[in-house]
Amino acid sequence: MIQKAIIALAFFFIMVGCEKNEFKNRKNYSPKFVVEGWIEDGQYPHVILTHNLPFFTSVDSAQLSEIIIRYAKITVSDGVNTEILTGGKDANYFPSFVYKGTELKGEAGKTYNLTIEYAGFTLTAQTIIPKPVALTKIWFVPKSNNKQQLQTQFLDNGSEKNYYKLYTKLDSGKRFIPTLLSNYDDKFFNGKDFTLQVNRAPENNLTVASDPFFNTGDTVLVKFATIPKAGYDFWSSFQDEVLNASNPLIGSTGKIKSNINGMGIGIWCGYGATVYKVVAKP
Amino acid sequence: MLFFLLIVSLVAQSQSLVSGYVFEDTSTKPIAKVKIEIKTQNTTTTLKDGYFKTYLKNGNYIFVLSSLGFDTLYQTVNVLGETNLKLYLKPTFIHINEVAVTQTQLNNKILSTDANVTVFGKQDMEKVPRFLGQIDPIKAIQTLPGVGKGGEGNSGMYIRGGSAGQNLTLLNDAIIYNPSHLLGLFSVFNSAVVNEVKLYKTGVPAAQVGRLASLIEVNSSKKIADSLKTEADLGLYYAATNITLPITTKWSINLAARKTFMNYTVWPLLSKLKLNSPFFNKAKYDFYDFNFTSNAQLSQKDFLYFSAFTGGDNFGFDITQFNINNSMNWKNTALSLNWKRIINANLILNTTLTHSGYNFNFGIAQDQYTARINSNIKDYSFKSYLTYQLNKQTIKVGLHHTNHQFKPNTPYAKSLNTELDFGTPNVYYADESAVFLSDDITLSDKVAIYAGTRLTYYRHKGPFTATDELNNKTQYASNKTITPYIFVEPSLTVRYAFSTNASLKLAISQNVQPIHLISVTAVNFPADFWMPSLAGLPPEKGYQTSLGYFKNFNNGTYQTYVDAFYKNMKGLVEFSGGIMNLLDNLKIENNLYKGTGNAYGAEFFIKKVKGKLTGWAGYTISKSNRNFADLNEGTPFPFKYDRRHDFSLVCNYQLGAKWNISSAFTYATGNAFTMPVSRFTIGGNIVNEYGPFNGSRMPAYHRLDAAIVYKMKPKKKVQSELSFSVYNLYNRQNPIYTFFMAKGDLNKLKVSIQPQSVALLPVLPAINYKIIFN
Repeated sequence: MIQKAIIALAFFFIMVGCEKNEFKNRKNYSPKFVVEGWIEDGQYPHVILTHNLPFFTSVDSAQLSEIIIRYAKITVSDGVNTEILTGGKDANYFPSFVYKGTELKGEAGKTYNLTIEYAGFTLTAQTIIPKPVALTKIWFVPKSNNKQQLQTQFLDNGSEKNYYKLYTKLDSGKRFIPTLLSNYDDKFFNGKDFTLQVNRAPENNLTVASDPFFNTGDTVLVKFATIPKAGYDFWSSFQDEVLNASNPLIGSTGKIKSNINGMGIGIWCGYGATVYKVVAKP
Repeated sequence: MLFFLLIVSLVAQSQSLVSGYVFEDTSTKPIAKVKIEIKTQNTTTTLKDGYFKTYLKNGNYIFVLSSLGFDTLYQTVNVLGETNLKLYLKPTFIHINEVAVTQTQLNNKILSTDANVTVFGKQDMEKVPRFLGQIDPIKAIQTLPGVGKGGEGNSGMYIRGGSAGQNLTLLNDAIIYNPSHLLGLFSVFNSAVVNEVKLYKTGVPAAQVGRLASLIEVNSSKKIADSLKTEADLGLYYAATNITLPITTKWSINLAARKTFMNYTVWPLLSKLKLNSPFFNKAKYDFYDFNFTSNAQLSQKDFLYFSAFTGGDNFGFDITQFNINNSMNWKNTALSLNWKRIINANLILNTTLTHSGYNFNFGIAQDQYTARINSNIKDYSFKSYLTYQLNKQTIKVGLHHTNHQFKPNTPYAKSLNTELDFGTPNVYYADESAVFLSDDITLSDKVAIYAGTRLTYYRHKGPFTATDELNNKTQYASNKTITPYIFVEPSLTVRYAFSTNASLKLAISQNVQPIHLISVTAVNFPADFWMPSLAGLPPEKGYQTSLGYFKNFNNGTYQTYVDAFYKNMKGLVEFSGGIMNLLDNLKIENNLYKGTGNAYGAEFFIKKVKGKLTGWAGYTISKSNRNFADLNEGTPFPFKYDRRHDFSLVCNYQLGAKWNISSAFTYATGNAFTMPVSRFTIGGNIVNEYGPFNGSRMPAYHRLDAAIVYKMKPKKKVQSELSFSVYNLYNRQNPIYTFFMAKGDLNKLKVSIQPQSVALLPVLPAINYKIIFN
């Protein structure tokens, strides 16, 4: 009987020794355009156009520069005026190739249509620039080790639906970085004076947690923007994916809410933005 | 139909030999001249050696055993062919069904009208290797065919393609909403307290609340103890104690407690050995549980049982990359008070009051920001039913009322010192009133039938504030009916016996469950948010048909079955967001996808019950699909816990009186998950884009456990045993979760993406010492 048991045990080991099938199913990739476009109140439109990559391809400099689409026809219209954007290098962004306008400036309350034509494909999107809301107060709260935490306050308009997005950058920084939780829906503070304690976020999801505070003496630019619902939906689903996909207790819902029509994903968003400059005084 | 069955009169049939012995108390001392009256039949008397024999037709009988100096014993006997009994008489008072009776169980599975029920007693549970030194009743159940495991870190049981929320788990009749301690490593059931576990995969008795997949009944002993017994159990990971204390000759109590101290042993050790994940640290996890039972005989015919359970868990870890701290804790409470009245030899009244409580917290903290979601359930229930034993029938009739209070997602968030205002938490009140009737009837030697039905009036009731699309609010006063649902749950099992060793069973049933476990599809740990049925959120409905062939070989040494099933489910729900969306105090009912599902498969089982080598093997081949209009573009997709293959083998070898060796192997197809198929960059971030819903598979799950138990030579009043057990013997890294991590620097144009699989438990040896004082 013992022999039988030993034979049985040996059989299991042999059986479990055969290991295979780690992560099958790599074939569902479908090529798509990726659009990151913005038009701010008083600013010219900007669009970054790339395409997606199969998940497991190794990425090197050649491939990263290959994802940039350089020769698309990108048109922005406010219903009356239309401008074709011009592509060019801009080291402040990644990838460092941005289509920009030079005539048509964003105006709060107006609707803007985006049309992208490339290799026979057409992508469209529409957005509006909501009316900007002013920050009523910006100040710093001292923390230990000569650090300071940024605080902001604004008054939400109780009679309208508002969505907000907050960014910061150091005076010397290249571009505005969204704060750690940067998207706000006024359903929790409709019509109230709302205070936001700001934590700085890592520049992107490839870098490890950064310092949530500023150093005493830093000159900080704060960008506070109102955004339309489609912009809020995109950025909050984007934040969920970027921040939570690797958290086993949360996981990814895998549903980034794009507003691009056609064979593309991404966001075309108007921002009622205002930029403030403050110094973290000792 | 049922009425017809009740009045059907039966033609004569052949008789079976019923024989046995009567002993004194629990000893082997025979009692002579015991008068055995068999209700509605005949009378016989035991011989000098306590032996008796009589011939009876198949059916249910009450044996009334009386003898001078002994209490009268009322014993129900179910004659299904040749039957051999051992009956024990106690000096001084009556015991009905409470004295240990070893009725030859060989043919039960063959001849009973239970469609496919497995009863695991203490002996069966002990055959499965111990987990970290513990005997676990639920772990034993999980080795049976048709019972899918969720994988490491997941305690859910996925029975015949159903979800974890479609099982009803009862501890002495009180619902346990989450029957596991966290990570599924231990069940909440302390084996010292559990007398038997019953698993119904179909044909759930009408007396129980409906759930689509199964009923798991866990019962403690109803025996009134006559002597003090103390057990202490100490291992590397936990300590446990169990005390049985007779208060009077007719009243005894039992206290049992367990507490782990893994925060001082396992986690620091893993951390020291650098076996834990590089992405997570500061893991902590511990639990405790406490059981109290009281068994009392109030009079010759009245018994009162009380049972109380409470248990809690605490789990947490940090995610290094984002400086995020996660925590989860939960707590189950179950109370039940059961009064059993023997009205006469044929009629028993059972009345039970129960309370169930469940509290779950999910927390996340990042720097100065903390957020928490609480989910809470409170149930109160009353059930009363009569069991009427006739010659060839057992009729049960009763009523059942349950009151529910659900607070599925109460959020709390604080940013530095400011608490966010989420408004009034969502609270839902509901109740269920049911009547039920069932009949277990033997039609002939070959054919027996179980027919039962349950009629339930369910309502979502006030206080409640309903909000329509235009944001108009309607207030409902307390106890006012808002949305009622009426449903019927019929169940029919037909058994055809070819002989006393082989039978075919057909079971057809419809079950309805008015409460939903909201699965947050993306979550990889079980998160428990329960919702009652509301307007626009109807109860889940399931239909199941199964056909099984049961056969015993070699004089009952081998018990086998093949059982095929098909199941259809309606009213299934999936939460449309992620767990973080629940932090928004949103109304879950407005954020659900609704769909249907089906499951089919075949189960193969063989169990060896005699000899030194015992054990069982089970294999299930099955498929479980879901169809949701809003998921996977409306095309069917596999259920997350769809198991094409599921195999378990349990071997136990008794070596002399002292040594016992056991091993268990399990293999299951990996969970379905949604894999990224492409990636893109926005705002300098690398973002995943996902492929078909549940379109990919995790690696297969497999594991081997083994244990050796050495029983030391019993001394006068002391017994002790030493056990050595190993979990995951060949150190298989079974991933609980897979994610994809991007690393590098876009500005330097160098990025790599690697799948990261997180395995939880490496090989885990345990030593345990148990001592019992009688």
